[in-house]
Amino acid sequence: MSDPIKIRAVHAADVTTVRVLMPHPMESGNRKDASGVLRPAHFITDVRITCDNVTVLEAAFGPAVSKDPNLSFKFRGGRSGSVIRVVWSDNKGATQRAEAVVAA
Amino acid sequence: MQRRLMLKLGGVLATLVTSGVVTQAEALAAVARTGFDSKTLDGALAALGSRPAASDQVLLNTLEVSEDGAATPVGVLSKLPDTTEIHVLVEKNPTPLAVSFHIPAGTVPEVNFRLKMAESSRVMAVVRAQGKLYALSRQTAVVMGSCGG
Repeated sequence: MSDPIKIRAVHAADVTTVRVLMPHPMESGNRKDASGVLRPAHFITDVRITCDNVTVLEAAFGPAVSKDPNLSFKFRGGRSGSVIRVVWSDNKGATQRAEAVVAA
Repeated sequence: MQRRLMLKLGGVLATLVTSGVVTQAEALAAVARTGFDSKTLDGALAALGSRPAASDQVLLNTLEVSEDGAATPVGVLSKLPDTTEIHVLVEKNPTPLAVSFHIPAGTVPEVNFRLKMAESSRVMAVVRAQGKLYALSRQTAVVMGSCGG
């Protein structure tokens, strides 16, 4: 179980800025441990971010996205008080989600 | 024995629900994973569609020299109208296509994140706008490479 997703969302001048941190090992499958054994790939494959249940960003990640992926982007149409939801799923079938309220 | 297993599974499920883990259905993959398996830049580009046209309306913000290949900051901004997709490729990584974004209407076609770079490489931002692909590349030197790719 990964640490919780962190979301910061602020609305100003008609634009909502979202910053997301998703704790995850993001193992590429190309690295070896101390005894020379390949560490199996374990990385986030899909991310969906919604604002009040409307999709505002979708992403497909490969294993080259850095450990503990962070992501920032902006969208129009949100407001202070809107609910941002982030859901990810990884190559092992695990999923995690978090929600945050947009601040003014 | 079976009953005990059921109880155990029930406990695990309850834990998953309370800790915010969601059903697979809710996190359904929506962005096609086209090109992620390609081992070459050309292969990945072919998977995305046509060969992208070079465009100075695609802005790619990377470091000229990245001290840490495990976390190189990358920012992409498209000034092209009706941008619906942003992809970033690292030519020298084992699988060049690193990430694909779908940009719904209303979302600013700008994303910032960090990538692993196995070694110094050309980084390419590819955007789809009005159905066509446009790209801009920059060279990034990596001081300490990530074996991650």
